[in-house]
This record gives sequence, structure tokens and C-alpha cells, in this order.
Amino acid sequence: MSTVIKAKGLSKAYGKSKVLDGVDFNIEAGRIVGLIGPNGAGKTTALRCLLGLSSCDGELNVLGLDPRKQRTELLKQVCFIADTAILPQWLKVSQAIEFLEGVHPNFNVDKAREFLTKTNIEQHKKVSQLSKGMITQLHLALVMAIDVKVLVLDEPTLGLDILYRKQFYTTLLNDYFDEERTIIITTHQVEEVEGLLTDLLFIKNGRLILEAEMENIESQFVELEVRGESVEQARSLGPISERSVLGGSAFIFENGDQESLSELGKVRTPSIVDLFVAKMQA
Amino acid sequence: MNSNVTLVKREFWEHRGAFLIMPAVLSGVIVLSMIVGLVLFNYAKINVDFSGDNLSIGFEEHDQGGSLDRDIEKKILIDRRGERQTSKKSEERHIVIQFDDGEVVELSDSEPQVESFFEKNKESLDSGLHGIHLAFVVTSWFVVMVYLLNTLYADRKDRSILFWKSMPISEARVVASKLVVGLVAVPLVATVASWVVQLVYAAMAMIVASQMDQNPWQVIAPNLHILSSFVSQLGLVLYISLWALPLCAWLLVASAYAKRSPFLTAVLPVIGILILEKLLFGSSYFGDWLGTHTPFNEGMMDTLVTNGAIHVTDSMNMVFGLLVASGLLVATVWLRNNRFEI
Repeated sequence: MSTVIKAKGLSKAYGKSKVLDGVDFNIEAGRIVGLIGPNGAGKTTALRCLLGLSSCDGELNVLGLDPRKQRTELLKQVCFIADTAILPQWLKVSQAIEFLEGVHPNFNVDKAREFLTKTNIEQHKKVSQLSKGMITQLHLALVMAIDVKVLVLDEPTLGLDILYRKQFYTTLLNDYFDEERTIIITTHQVEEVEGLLTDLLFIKNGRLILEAEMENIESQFVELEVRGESVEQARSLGPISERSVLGGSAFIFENGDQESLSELGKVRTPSIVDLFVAKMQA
Repeated sequence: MNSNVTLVKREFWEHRGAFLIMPAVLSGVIVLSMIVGLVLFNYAKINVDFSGDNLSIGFEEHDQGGSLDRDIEKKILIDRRGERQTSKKSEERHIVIQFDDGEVVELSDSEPQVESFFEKNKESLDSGLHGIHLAFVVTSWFVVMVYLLNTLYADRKDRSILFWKSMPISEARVVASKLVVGLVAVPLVATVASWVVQLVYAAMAMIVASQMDQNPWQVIAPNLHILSSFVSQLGLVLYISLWALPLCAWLLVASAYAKRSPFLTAVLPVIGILILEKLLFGSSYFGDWLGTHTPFNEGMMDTLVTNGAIHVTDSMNMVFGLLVASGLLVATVWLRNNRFEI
């Protein structure tokens, strides 16, 4: 499997505040990576560095190119959706298609039209006449019609209702994703992308605090739910987090021994949301 | 499709109203007023009507007509009937008409009078062409300046810049496309629209002439220098763009840099320098220099109005202006790459 993105010691500072503080990670082809962190953790900055939209220090290689110097070349192979409503209001749907056809060498007009026929979006409409959900659908349709190796989605479903959000990810997975492609997603709605992701990157205060494959989460983390006197015992084993649940407590252990823990209570794999909270509070 | 063409098209999609509808409306207004003028001219043609004891002279029918002495009436009739056969009797062709309100109109031999009208106004036929062109050039330049001042600000403000930036087009090409649109495409559209109106004007002048019983191919056509006017107008439009390049590049810098108001960002530093120079040195070199690079400086207006030849009076100034412009454009591209967030 080939490495698509390689970052080493990625740093970015605005004045004295470090937004990214020596971040290292590798992303392989054919993965769907969730870059997850609280507000101001540096997610968007990290993505901007990858896309050559922001200057940064450290080693950075995307598809064999340096985004800081070869942005235009890179953008033939990398596409991104930065936020929901960033399509200009005056643009007509048909003009958006014509524009992409004119400027993007890997854009497929027929594909874009095909995606759009599955929606209620009419080609003569302006972006200003579309609902927020439709604008995102349009943007996704345009982006999916571009044959690129890496797709970056920064909070793509922000402000959309649940139906559009579900549909967005379903379309992405069914009509777009394949083994050649890599998708990087940042989002607040962790629970919605949980089933989608193959890899997790947790970021906090400009530092990477977890880099894991979803398959390994199960063996790496264990959640233990205990009641009564076993709570003290569990606490002494050094969990990375504790929270109260009905009638007892739930602990998350990193690299804990599943068998011995199961003697104390119910053992399961933590949800990404709980894991996220645990890692952020640790 | 060629991506350069797409980038230019993009600007016309966004600014359809200012770039296309504006010149169309201006054309419509000018043509309409010419038509109204022509109709009024027809309407105002004096009707001479002889009925019973009265001779009426007026506009259309009998309105505003005035009574005249019968002797004069007869003279008029003779005159009108004999117009083409008895051409040399100049005394008989001189008529004095006194209206009720005391206004006195002298009519002498009509043909030479009409001829001399066109003869006298030979020069102003061409200035009609240039006047029309001037109207288009001035309006298009206001459009261009407002456009350049806002274009690199608007996409940052509505955050659509991130959509444009997700395309494999460098900021240098984006800036170049906007400059080409402002300095070449928009002035060209305005010029073509003005040419259409100028042709309408020429046609109308010929209609007027033929209504005055003149052969338009003799009195109008030889005195209207349409082709040479078009060529020099085109040259002048591009020449203005070249002179205004530093100013336009400055507007782009302001547009790319502004956090709130591109207009103030553009204007305040200029005013600051003007005041500072005046206070420190008591001079106004900067203002003078700037004046030579506005699209409507004195010399340019003269050239526009008279459609005179383009004189490169100050080629050093021109070269210096172009150097300044390239520096400002480099700054614009840098701002677009590194400081695009508001």
C-alpha cells in the first residue's frame, strides 16, 4: 500500500501561539481518515497545510508533492470541501459545471450531471436559490465528478439536518470511495462518521494524541462498566477515563488486559465518542 | 475548453449586469434619444398650408399657425412650386414671415441653405461619433474601477475563495484574469456597443439629410470617417488601459488586502501620501504623477473628445508606471496566497 500523505514535525504558529506543534502522521491510500479534535485544536490548520493553503514548518509530502510549493499541481489530484456554504451565491448550477469543465483536467461532466439527476437540484438555478442541504449536495456532486486521489472534507455537513448528513455520507461511500482513493474528514459529529472511518487521528492543542486504525481500537482500548465495590478496584488499575453511568461507573483502559478486567464487570469496545472524550480529558 | 477563456467567462457570469447589461442599456438610451430627436425633427417640420384667405404655418396640421398677409402667401406658393425649375431668381426666393407673436422668420432659397448646413457642420459629424464613444468609455471605466476594487474582496468576504482555491488554478492566473477582464474585455465590450450605436447615429444622420432633400451619400457619407474613427477608438481604449495599469494594480492590492472597506483601503494611503508630501516638501509630485495615470486625465479626455492621434509624450513615465504596476501585482498575488482570510 502506498503512502499518500507524509507529515513530520508539522508546525505552525501565529505569533507565540502554536496551532500545530510537531505533528507526525502517515496516511495510506484507500483509507478514510477521521481527523478529530475540539474547536481550536488545529484540525483546519492541519488540513490547510496539506492543501497548500497555509504556510507551515516541517516535512510535508502529499502525493510526492510539496503543497507549499506545488499547490496548483497538487490540486489536480486533491480536492476539498472546506465548509458548507462556500459556493458563491451568484453562481448557477450549470455555470458551476461549465467552470469545472473548463479549469479541471480530471472533471467528468457526465458524471456530475448524473449525480445531480439523483437530487432535486435544477441546473438553471443559482446557488442563492438552493437550500443549505442542496448546496452541499451540489458541491459533493461536483467534487465526486472529479477523479482525484485524495478528497479532504472539512466539516462538510455542518449545519445540515440529519437526513442530509446521512445521505451525504452514504453517497460518499457508495458512489465515490474505492481502494485507490483516500478521504480525510474532520467533523464534530463523530458518531456519524464512526462507521465510515478506517483510521482515527485525534488532535488536541496542536498535538496528535492518537493515531490508530479502527481495527486496532478493539484490542487497544477497552471499556469496563462496573457497579458497587469493584469501582474502587477498577479505579486503581489506572484507567484513562472514568464517567458515571446508571448505577455505577464506566472506565476506559488503554492496553488493558481484557480477561482480568472482565472479572470486575461488563467489558466492551468503547465508542469513538467516549474514546474521544476520554483522550481529550486525559 | 481553454481554462483562460473559462476564467474570463466566470467574471462575466458574476458581473453580467455591469459588464453586459449596462452597455446594452446605455446603447438603448442613446439610440432611443436619437429616435426621439428624429421624430421631433420630422414633427417640427414646418407645414405650409393655404386655405381660403389664410395661410397657416406651423407644426403639423394647423396648430400654432399664424396668419399672414396674402401677398406673401402668393410669393410662398410661387416659390414652392417653382422651386426646382426657377432656381436662379434669388429675390423671389427671399420671404419674410411675421408670426402673430411677433416672431420674424426669414426664409431664403432652401437648397443652398441646407447644403451649407451640412457644409458648416461637416466637422461635427465626426464629433458625434466621438461623443458617443466617450459616453461608453467613461461609464465602462467607472464599472472597471468598482469591479477591480471589489473583486478580490468579495470572494474573501463570502468565503467562496475556498471554493475557487480548490481548483487547480494559481492565484497569479486568477489575478491576471481579473486584470485582463478589467483592462481589455470590459473596455472592448463597451467599444463594440459604442460602435453599434455610432452606426445607428450614422444611419440617422443620413435619414435626416434625405428628409432635407439632400443626397446622404454626398453630404453625409464622405464627411463621416467611420472606419478610421473605429480604429483610433480601439487603439485609444487599449492605450488608456496601459496608462491606467498602475492605478488598476493598486485597486487590486487594496481589494486583496482590505479587511472591511476596499475603497478606504485604496483611498486613505493615497490621501496620506498627498498630505505628507505637501507638509514635508510643499510639493505635489505624487499627485501630479497619479493624475497622469488616471483613465480620465486631461490629455486623455482631449484625445477622446477630438479623437486625436495618440502621442506618447512621456514614455519614461509610462515605463515607470508599468514597473510600479508589476510590483503591485506581485504584492497582490502574494496577498492572495498568504493573507486571504478576513
